[in-house]
Amino acid sequence: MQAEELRIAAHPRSGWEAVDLGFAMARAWWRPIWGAWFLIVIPIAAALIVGLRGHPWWTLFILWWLRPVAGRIVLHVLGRALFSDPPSPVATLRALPEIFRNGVLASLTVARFSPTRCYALPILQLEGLQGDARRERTRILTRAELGPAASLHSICAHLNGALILALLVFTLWLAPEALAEQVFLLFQNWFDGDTTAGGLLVAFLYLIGTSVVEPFLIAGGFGLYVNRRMWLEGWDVEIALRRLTRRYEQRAPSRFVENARRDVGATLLLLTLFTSTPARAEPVCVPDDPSSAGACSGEVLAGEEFGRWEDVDRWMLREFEWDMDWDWPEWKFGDRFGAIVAGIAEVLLWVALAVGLILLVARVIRDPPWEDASGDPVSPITLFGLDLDPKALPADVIGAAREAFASGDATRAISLLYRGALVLLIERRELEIPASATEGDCARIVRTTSDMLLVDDFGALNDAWILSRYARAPIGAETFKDLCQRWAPRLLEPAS
Amino acid sequence: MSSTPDATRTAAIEAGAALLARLRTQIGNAIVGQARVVDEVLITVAAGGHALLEGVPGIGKTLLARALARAFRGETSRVQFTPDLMPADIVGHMLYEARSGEMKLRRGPIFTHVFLADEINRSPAKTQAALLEAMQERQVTIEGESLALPAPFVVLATQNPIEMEGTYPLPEAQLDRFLLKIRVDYPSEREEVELTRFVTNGRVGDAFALDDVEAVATRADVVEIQEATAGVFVDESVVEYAVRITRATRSRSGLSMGSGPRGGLALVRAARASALLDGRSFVTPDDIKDVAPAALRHRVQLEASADLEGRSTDDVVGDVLAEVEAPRE
Repeated sequence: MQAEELRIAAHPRSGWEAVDLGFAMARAWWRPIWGAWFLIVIPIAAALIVGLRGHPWWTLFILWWLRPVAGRIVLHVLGRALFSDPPSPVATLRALPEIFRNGVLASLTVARFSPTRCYALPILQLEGLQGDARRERTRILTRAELGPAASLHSICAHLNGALILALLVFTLWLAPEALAEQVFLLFQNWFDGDTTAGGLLVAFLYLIGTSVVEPFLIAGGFGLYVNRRMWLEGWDVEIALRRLTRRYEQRAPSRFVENARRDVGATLLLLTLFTSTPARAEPVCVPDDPSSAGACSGEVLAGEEFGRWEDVDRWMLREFEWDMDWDWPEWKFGDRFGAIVAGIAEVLLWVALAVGLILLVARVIRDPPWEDASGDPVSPITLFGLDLDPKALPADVIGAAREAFASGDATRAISLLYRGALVLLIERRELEIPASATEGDCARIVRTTSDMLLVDDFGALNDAWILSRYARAPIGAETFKDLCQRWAPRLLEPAS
Repeated sequence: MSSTPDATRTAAIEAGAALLARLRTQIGNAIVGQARVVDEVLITVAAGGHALLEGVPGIGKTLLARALARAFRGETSRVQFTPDLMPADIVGHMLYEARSGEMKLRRGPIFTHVFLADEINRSPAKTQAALLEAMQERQVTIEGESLALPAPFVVLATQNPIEMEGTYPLPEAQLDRFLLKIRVDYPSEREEVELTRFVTNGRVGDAFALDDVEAVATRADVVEIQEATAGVFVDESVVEYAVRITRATRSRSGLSMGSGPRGGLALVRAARASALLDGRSFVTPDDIKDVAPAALRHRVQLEASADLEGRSTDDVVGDVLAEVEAPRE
């Protein structure tokens, strides 16, 4: 791969920008892509449709199942076009053995149901890795941008469906009036599975829809793949460094250039070491030899200054063997498999039981059922700094208030009266006064009662309290006497 | 703050309250309905702040500014903020006078008592920022020379909540400078009928006349009102209550950004003015609660999820007020 020969602007992109790049590639190279598609995919699919004409549903299923195989044609063209001229349809036809050499089985089995298959297809097809190496490569590359890849699949699936439906409707529209009813009957009978003509028509419509959407899906996935490699392997950096080297070479073929070339070469090799994972013989570090820069950088990286070591403690599943000496019941299907399934089910049941118990205990601790069984809102114990616990109030509130006023502590006197009034409202009148209620809120709540006398008396007391509390204003003896007279009947009344 | 108000201060407060009441009556002669809006504008003036009025066009925002200025014999100027408005168009600039061969200062429309910045969010941040110094320092700087603005000075800025196309949302720093953000809603049906009758009865065109607004105070009176407001007594527990509300917005779910310390300052300043408007010389927790939505709604930012649920900043501030405990000893 020569990064310099890239036919696209090399710079890291976001996931959706990469998808857009893929679409742009599909649009730019549409002739070779759809040319190859029409030359290879359409005839085979048409033959399949005609060959399976008695089985319309099987035809659709097989067409759907083989879509990743058809997508390989598109990917081949895109892969070639990225670095050189796109191959002609005939060249693509000739390259079929190469196209289907790697990972076809995986494409049609384990990877078939992957919602990100378009993203992983280039790894299967273009990189030619096998086994663990492929898995590791897939894991590294698909560590990011899975979201856009899955969304792209979803969008394309919906577009495909919409397109097929649109084509169905379009066909009905275009059908001559005399034939419209017959065409409609064809579709209807196709749903009932009665005729092959309707099945053929729908299968061809499906093929047309797929021919439009599938190349874009594959191109979008290829865009993501290329972008991911650009991030990981720094193609843009490599290209910039190569250009830098070339520029220096053209300007002054001197010792400086030699040094620059060596440095750039070393940097490129360092990048290569970081970003690719080929299996090679261990090179030896030779000072001043650009070709061994990778090994030198390996030595540097092995130093204490690089790398990060940390001890991590975490729970891991221990490897254990099933004790097969247990007394297993007679299983109808394979003793070992049945034992494993039963063992897993038993463990899951115990875990579920334990979790359920823990949740139950937590619920009981948090919200004890024996407390506040009525579900009534809990009235605040303090309001505006006043202790509203009835037990904290003196038995004779009016007497205590008069005593405090006589001793010159008017603030305490009015506070006692106000506390007594609020306790009365909460306890006996069962008014709900939240902790956030201000004096104005309390007055509004009291006004909701129909007891106008109470409203009037509470208003007077509220005003006196506000003056005393927030204006630090003295309360006159007459005012206090009036308040005592207003509230004495209520506060002296024994609780029922 | 914790000392009991003395007799002199009480007299000043009573005089201030009476003046405010007279201003309220006169502005009410021109503005039909919108009593709450008038009160909040007067609170802003009394507290020496600036207000951001948000509402659809045609509900009397300009008229309100003119009526306010007329009621205290103040000057008013209105600037329509547009994308091409430059800071110099607001604050003024130095001009070369060919006849004398000297640079002359040409003062901008900001040199007034009531400055109406119409549709402030139509101008880019650079122009909006020209107001920052004026609002905060009550002065402007032209060619390195600082010029004091006349007293009283109040900025009433308006913005349209619906048309967001081609607007420049005010930055947080600028929003924080506004004491209150006042929502101006449509008048009620009864008020609208009254308004229509009032405007169309024996008048040419549909312009609102200010004939019914009498000048009942002077500019010096307004300054006295502001001084009286500053003297309104605030108990320590009420200050703590205001701060608790402000702090509660910072940890409130539904808000991505809570109010800064200026929110608490604004609450207390506005509550003082609210108490004075109510004829009191002291602030109660109810004053804080009354002004809290207007003082905090522009200082908090709604989370996207809450926005999608159709909640407004007022809803969340209301939740905060319903949860923060009232003052206690």
